[in-house]
Amino acid sequence: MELLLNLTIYFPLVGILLFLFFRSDTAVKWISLIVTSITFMLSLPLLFGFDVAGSAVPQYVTEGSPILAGMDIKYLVGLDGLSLLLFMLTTLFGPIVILSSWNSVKKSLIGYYSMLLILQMASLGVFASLDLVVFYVFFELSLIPMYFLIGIWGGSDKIRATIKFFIYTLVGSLIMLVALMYLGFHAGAAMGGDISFTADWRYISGPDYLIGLAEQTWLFLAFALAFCIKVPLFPFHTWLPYAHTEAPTAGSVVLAAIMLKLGTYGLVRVCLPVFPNAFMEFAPWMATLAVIGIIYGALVAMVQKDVKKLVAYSSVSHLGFVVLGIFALNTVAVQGAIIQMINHGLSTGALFLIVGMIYDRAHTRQISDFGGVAKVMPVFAVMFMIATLASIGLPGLNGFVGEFLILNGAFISTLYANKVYAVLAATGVILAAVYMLWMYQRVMFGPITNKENEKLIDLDAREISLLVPLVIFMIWIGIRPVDFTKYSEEWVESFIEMSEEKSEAVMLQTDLSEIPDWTARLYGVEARQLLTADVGGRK
Amino acid sequence: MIEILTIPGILFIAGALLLTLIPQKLRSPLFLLFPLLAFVIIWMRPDGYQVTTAFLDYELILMQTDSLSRVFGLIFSFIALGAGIYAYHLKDLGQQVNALAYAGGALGVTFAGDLLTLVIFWEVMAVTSTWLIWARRTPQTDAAGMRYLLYHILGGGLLFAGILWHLADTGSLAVVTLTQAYTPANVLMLLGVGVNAAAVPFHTWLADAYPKATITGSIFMSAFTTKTAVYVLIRMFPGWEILIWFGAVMTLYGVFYAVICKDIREILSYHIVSQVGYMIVAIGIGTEMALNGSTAHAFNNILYKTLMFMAAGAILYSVGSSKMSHLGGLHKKLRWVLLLYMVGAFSISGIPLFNGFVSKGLTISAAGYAGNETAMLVLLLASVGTWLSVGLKLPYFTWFNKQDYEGEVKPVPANMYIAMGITAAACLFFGVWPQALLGLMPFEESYNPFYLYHFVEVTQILLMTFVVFWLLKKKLAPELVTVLDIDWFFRKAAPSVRSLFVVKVDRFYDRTEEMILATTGRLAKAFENPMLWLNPFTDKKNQATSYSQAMEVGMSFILLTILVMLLWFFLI
Amino acid sequence: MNKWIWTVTAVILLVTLVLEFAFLGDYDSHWWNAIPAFYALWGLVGCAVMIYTAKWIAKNLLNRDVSYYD
Repeated sequence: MELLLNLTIYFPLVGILLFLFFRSDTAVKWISLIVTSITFMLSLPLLFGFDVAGSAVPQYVTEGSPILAGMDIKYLVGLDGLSLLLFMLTTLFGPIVILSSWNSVKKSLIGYYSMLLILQMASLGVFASLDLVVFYVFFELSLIPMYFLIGIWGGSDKIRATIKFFIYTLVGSLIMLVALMYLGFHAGAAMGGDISFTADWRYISGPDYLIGLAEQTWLFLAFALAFCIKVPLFPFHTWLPYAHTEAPTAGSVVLAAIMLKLGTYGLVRVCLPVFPNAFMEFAPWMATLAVIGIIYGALVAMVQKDVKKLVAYSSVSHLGFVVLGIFALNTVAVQGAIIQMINHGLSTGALFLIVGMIYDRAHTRQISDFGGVAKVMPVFAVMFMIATLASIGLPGLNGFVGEFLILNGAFISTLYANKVYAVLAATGVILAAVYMLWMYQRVMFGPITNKENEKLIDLDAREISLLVPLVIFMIWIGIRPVDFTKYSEEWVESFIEMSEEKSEAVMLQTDLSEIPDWTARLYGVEARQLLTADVGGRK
Repeated sequence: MIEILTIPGILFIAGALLLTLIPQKLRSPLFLLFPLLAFVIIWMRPDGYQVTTAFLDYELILMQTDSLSRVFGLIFSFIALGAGIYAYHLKDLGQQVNALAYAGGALGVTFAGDLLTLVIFWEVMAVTSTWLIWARRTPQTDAAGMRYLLYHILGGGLLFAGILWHLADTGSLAVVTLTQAYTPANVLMLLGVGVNAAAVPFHTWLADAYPKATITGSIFMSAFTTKTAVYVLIRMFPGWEILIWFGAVMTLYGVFYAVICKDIREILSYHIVSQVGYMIVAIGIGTEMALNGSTAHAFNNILYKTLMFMAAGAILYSVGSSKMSHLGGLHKKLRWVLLLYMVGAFSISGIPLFNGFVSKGLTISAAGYAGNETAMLVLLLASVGTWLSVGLKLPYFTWFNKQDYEGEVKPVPANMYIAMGITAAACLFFGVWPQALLGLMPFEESYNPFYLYHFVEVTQILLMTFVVFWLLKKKLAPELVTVLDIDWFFRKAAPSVRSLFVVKVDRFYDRTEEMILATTGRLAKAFENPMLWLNPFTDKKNQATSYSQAMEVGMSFILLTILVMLLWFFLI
Repeated sequence: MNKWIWTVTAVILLVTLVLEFAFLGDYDSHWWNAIPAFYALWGLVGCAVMIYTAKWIAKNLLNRDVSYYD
């Protein structure tokens, strides 16, 4: 099984190898399709063999030997409750993405498909890695193919878009690198023995490793910044609409469905268990940004004239929900956030596929160029409607489950002293419904305003086969979410509990005389210590 | 599984989905099947019947029957049947599907035993009814539909937020009667329900959207949204005093606008506000008799209001306009429509032997017994206005006022007449035999409307109103106007708000980015050729790569040294 | 047509007044039951007030051109 995991991660590279021998356009396309489909099938046993009750502990772990003597940086991969579903989502989208660009890419196919395959590998690696350095390597690795995808096969303003995307995200990750190094040395020292640097996530996130309050603050802010740029969280979101509109369809789909999840995944994977005090302290701030993102994203989406940009801003809005759920720090909300990551991948991925399909036919994305499309493309209309409704959060489809859990968790959260966050977020759901339905109505209903649109052809078998699996999952998650939430349940419960224990332990340990003033004030150390001392100092 | 399908709300929605597959000729008859089934099912289910299902960690009560939900369920399915007959000639799949789903949503809310189910069906109602407005397909109705959708999803959002807060506070999702406490959760829920009930000042969507919806669409809409909200108010907010005030304002506000307006469907729409006001005042009073009154009034209101909307729709269908200034002198050509309409008008005004006499009497008496005399007077004044606006003004200017109508009059389809006939018959039935309705009431009710005082009271008011109307009827003459309402504030303000919050912020971001990129560009250009800094004699046109040999060797040497030192440092 | 309606109206009104004075004693005892023919007056005054107020407010505040919002 461990072998299977590694095989799954690296199998896309086999495709690239084969490209050396088979260079014709058709061969390239078929090879990538077969390779990604096999990757998906390889990942299925990982799903079925997963021990649901033990999802808090990483499974299928492969542990390599340390790279350098004295530095505990090793190749460490495995899947646990948090990463399993995201891993599966990535493998699912592999063949879908390949298939979606079947007819639309005309130049340098080898380059294009190799980029997609590398991207696939890198994303799988991020979700599977349990060593923070390996995580970082894969994280950065995913930027490069994206850069090329947008820069070479993108739309009219592709150069500016891709540079903006690349630099913005890179800056964030470089800051994260500095923090990572510090963290590694600090953890290595705490680990004891000969080790001067460790990046083993299992140790760092475990209950034995505690970080002082001042360090936690800086480290948290650094990591959170990198992840928040990726999410994207307001106000670091400006690269997203640009990147999305200029990217080719497959690029947008991968970007929305998978790469944005790297950010939220990182927040849960790294920030939650490792920096619990800072996490809790900054939660209201993050929630504020998240809520602003939800509402701002929705408002801007309402005035967009380009369909792709509208969906891009809707991503900002939806992922604001996920961040709100993460920082509520209770089982319900974090569980909701995790399932919502999957949901967003499915519904927004579907929406970008749909936009790509209409663009392939009409070569325009302006809403004003459409109208009455439902008359000529009924199957397309149905698929579009389902994806729209899922995105809005209609009960019975997947979006509702995530939204409901997150809002519920936000309402009962102890970190959000004021329920205003939850109320505002709930009203944000309204706005989502408004702009999506309005866009749908303008594009699909009414009379056919543009003569050219009468010649549009409905979906062919290839395109239907892209959307059907996504629709099936949207309905499945909506009706029986338990089948999907069960994987992360244990993980969420145990890590939240451990986080709280760790934060208390850190509080108890903190020596008032050793920490700077601002830290003491920020965390209210004196008051908290008195409180826990009174209660007898719980462990 | 089968049990879930017999839940009326889900039955209708499943039926709506089924309709998409049925060929057009069979759709209209099939449509009628579902209300019939629902009616029978609701009639047969005993009190306390429950259907539950599990969702995540919660237990949802999809259906729960008691006397209150049964009476609403019965009238909803009956009117769905009537409206279905009225819309029999319709060929538009979208409208048929959405109308059925909309009725299903209303039934779902009625029988919901937990708040989550309730709000889900509530949202279904909002979306499907918007479709019925958009189905008209003119730029005006597109915009009106958008406003309607915004309003209703706002209401739904407030309700949802309130429910979640309530859940956080109490840990339970059950639909319960709330004690009168203005906690944030309760207030949010009340506001959400109030939007759907068209409480002033949240009522503007009603008069904005109903006249603009399709002919058949309006029938459905007038029957369901507001009455579902009334049901929820009776269930969850009985006796909340604030409702008395809101209700009183609504009765007079609605009637006042009904007197002013000059479009027959608009008059009827504003009048809905007034009638719902009656119900809300009664809910606010909160005694058992008052709640019975509210329920009875809702029941009867659905019957006669829908009847009047049907008649107005028939006029719109045959003449092509619903503006009173275009109408007049139709009494020869649309005789039957007039007759059926007047049944509705008599009912709504409370003329003896029609159903309104019973429910209005019950409500006003309840107010009297509860000691609220101001409420009684307000309701009586509203009665004056009701008879004036929809019983006198509307029919007079539509069917009389001119000798003969000069334009084309299309014949009204038979199914419309049948639908109106059935509804009118029901009005008469419950007027002549009030015990049939009173027996369905949630609380024991022994009211008998046929007493002398009541008769005298009603007759005197209505007669004198008629006299005054006749003398002053010129003052109410139709003209082509747009009547402003509270929504003026945001209809006029919307574009500027949008530009401020959205467009300007976007532009700010854009400009910041341009500045940053420009600065970066300038910096990049300045450092393009480092030789310019090191050696002032360098030829500016040189590329940075053309160093002299010596420089290259020197730099390589330095680089090598650094590498060796790093390796040394790390490995040792 | 008109004369007939007026006669019927007048007759019914007289009947109600007779009924009121003859048979109804202190029925529901509200403060206004002391006023004779209260409901008739209520109808008369109420209707007139309503029509005039409505007309005035409409003319001065609310009526606008048909294409106001477009």
